[in-house]
Amino acid sequence: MAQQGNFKSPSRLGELGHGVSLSSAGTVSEGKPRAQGLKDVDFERRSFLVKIVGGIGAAVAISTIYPVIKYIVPPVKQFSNLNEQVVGKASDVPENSGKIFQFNKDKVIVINDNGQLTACSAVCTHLGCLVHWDNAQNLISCPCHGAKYKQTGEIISGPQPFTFALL
Amino acid sequence: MAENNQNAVAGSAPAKQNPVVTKGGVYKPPVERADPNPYKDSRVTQVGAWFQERFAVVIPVIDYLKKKEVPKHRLSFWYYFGGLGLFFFMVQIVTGLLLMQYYKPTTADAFASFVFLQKEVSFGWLVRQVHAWSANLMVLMVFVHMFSSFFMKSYRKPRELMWLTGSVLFVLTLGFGFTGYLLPWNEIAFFATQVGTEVPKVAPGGAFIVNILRGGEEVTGETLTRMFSVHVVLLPGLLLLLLSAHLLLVQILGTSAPIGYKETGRIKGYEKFFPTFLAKDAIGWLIGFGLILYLAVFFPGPIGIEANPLAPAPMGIKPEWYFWAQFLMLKDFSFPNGELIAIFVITLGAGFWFFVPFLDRRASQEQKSPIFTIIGLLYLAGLVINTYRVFAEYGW
Repeated sequence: MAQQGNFKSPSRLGELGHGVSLSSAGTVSEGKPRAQGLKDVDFERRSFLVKIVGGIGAAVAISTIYPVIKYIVPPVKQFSNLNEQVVGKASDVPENSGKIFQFNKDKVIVINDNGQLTACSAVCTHLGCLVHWDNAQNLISCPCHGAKYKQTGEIISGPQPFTFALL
Repeated sequence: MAENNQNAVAGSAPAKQNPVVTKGGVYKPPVERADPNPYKDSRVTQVGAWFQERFAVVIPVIDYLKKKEVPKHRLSFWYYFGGLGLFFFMVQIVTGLLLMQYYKPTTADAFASFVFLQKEVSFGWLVRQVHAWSANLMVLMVFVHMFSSFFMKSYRKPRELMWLTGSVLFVLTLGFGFTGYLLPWNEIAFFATQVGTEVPKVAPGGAFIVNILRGGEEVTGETLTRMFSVHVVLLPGLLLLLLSAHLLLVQILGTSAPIGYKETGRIKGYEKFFPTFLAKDAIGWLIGFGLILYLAVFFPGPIGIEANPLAPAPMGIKPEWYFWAQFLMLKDFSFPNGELIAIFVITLGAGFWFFVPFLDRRASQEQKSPIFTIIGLLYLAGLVINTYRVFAEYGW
């Protein structure tokens, strides 16, 4: 039952209790009209209540938000860190083409340029697209924003900030 | 607890006329309650009366809505685009729900279910094409609505909050486009998301955001799950919330007329929103619906090739048309730290756009503000020119 009113202390409830049901909430003792009832409301006490509820609420909110944020940050995946890895046969990469392989946590493009195999990172340093080997121009190019690299990973042109790591 | 709610007009407790003195000497003052149903003598059907008895409180609201009027003038045509955006959004909800009946958001199944949906399911192709085209048209309508509101200075006092909620709705609409784009899990989707989610990395601390967006360091199945949940749960919820606020505000504040139109007598009259304007809106919606079906049948989007995380990006890859201007900026700014500067410029431009109701003081005083018209034209020209440049270089 919502207590509408203006009981300064709970002990008043006790006085009410003599044969009167508590559903008489909102009544005022000694014949005070309801309109004047608010004069006696202890606003200090009410604001104290708001502070307590607000404070506890804030603490609960913070301790709820923390695990939520931790939850949406994905756990770090473990990668084996090999210095050498057999990713496939040399014949997997046809002459004058490039093929991308997973190497540890990196993606690597193996280029077969007239029988000579070289490897460098396949992830464009601009915005992370996977590059391809452009045999006609003899360079590595990224289709997303037009970055161009030499076979050695050095920048020719484009928006990319760094050279490729050569493997 | 309605009996304890002094505001409840429909409360069942009748007003007690006589003070009741109980044994304990407690005085119960007469409680004045409003008539629970002041409309009980109005002529309504039996069903109407049933609702009226329970929801009499909404009758003044309905009466208020009945009063809403839309000004008629030379530029009234531009009033239809917000409603069209809303219509395409409703199409998105229906078709989106239908698509979800067959779509499986995992790397193993996404592309297969996407192909199955279009090749095996009856009318599956239609539902997917309608969803894709309606999305494009929704974005287009939101753009038109935003720029027409800007040029008519509808953002000026007292409609600042409409502009702010509208701006957030615009961002949410683009968010829908971006998150939905990955779901087919084809090559173009994969690299579009790769680039889009890589962008925050250029800013300091951005790697953390990228990690959250992707659910890992790279675009993987985790990214697909995230994009899916954001696309079908988070964004619709947020959008509905903001849309309610946006529509409530337009009901309360009414439709804005351009500055000076009222004073110079250029308003030819007013028409009722319910039902006249809404009926005209509905004509627009029917045309829009026809347009979606036409585009879906005659210009179906491609199915594409399944995404392969170890294949190079396809040649000529580009995002959807509404990201072309930003895409070109990322390409153009090829000097050192170009991406960071591009992001900075875009953020600054968006921030200025967002706060324009508070910056354009002249418009808020009902004075013409040509500077802001010029700024708006520059924004529009920048978008159109850059979009056209991408079109000229890459084609459709």
